[in-house]
Amino acid sequence: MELMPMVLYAGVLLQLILAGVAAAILFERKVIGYMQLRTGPNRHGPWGILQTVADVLKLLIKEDIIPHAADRKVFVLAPIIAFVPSFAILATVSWSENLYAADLNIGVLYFIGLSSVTTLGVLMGGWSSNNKYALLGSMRGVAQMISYEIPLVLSIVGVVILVGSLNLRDIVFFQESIGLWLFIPQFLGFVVYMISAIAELNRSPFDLPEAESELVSGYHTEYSGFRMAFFMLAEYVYAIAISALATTIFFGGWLGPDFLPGEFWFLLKMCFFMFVWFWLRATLPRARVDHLMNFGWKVLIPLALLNIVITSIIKVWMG
Amino acid sequence: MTGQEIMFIILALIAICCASLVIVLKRISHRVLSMAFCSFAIAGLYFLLRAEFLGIIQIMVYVGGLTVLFVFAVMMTDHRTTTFVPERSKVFKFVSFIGVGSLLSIMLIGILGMDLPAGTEPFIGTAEAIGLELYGNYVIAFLGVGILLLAALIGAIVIARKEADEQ
Repeated sequence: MELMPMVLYAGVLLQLILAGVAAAILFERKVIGYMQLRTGPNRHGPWGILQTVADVLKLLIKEDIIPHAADRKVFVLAPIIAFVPSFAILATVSWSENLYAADLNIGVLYFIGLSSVTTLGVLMGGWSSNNKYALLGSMRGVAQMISYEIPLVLSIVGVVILVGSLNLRDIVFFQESIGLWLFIPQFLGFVVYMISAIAELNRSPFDLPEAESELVSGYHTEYSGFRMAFFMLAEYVYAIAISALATTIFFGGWLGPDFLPGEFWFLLKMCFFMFVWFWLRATLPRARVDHLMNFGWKVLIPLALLNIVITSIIKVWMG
Repeated sequence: MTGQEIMFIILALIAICCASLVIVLKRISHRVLSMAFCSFAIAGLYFLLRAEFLGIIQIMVYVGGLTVLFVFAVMMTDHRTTTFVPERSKVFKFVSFIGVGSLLSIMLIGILGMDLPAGTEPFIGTAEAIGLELYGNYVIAFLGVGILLLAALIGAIVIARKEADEQ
């Protein structure tokens, strides 16, 4: 793509993602509300549609507080470092056969590599706050993110072996050619991916970095106003991005019946994954930190490795 | 000047500035952060050279891995009172200045005197080509590096264990 359309694409995508995050938060509160036999937000606009808008407005006009003892520069920089990679990874997502930004031949690697930068933002935020809860939260968060990044990557390796390409679009074309979505032949990999994705996202039942009963609010305890909004934004954009990745590599991307455009099928599948995150949040209690670590290292990583071995054997055997 | 050259100059300036900030800045957390930005700029240079794989690996290893490791190491140790060495004498400064200066001039002479033939076809460093080279031609060297890293890891654990037991 030329420079101008590229900038335009990025600008439009940013607006759409912001609207999408607002919708996702409303969706989350409604889903959890109905699961707990209440209606959820219903005061602002019909069906509570303006609830998130009101929340965001509140966060934006709130007083900006930087603690006196905080390391000012790092404190200001941390939310940006956390947010930028979560948006940058969306560049490789191919929304339909014709609508995509970058046809990168190492798309999967780009996705995983850049998202690991978010860890730095979380760590910097927690550390520069000069607060014990923030520090503990960020250390937990980083330990969890680093541990669960390994099974997340390993679970994708099975797909990469089958397809023989790191290009996200090639993965979808491969699923089109075999006429099967990859979550069926790669079911073990899919399960490992889903579990480690939730831990990567710091979502319930693995939301230990911000366990409010023990850590107040985790690594963003000292953040308020729009800086806090930035952390929340990063979290939700990341949730959308991980859903998009799951859709692309396991659920056939934009593939679907022909009577509706590919973008619609892509968004529908993405919404399904978002619903799964919210569903789990409403139903499962929080895991304990040592259980979480044991589960990651002793169960998920061996399972992911087993998946790679089986996939390689089948690939060599089938030729 | 083409767009590529402009991007190169911007990225190179960022890399050099951040690299010198690593030495200049006072607080160690700021140093670690500027090191991360330096690695980012170098990854950008790799992207400019169409070595996408190398660029991503640069970000993954240096920003996502090494910098986080650094921050952890700094967090675990008492960093407020850390000074690297006591103030050096004038003679020491002079000698090190001459040493660094001569190293720089030798490198510059080497780089400027080097005669690299301009490639006719644009080279794209794909992951596939790198994988074939790494696990084909250089597989023994690759295994050797793996064993070396494993030994270093075990050594670090043994040393850390010993210190933990003594306390």
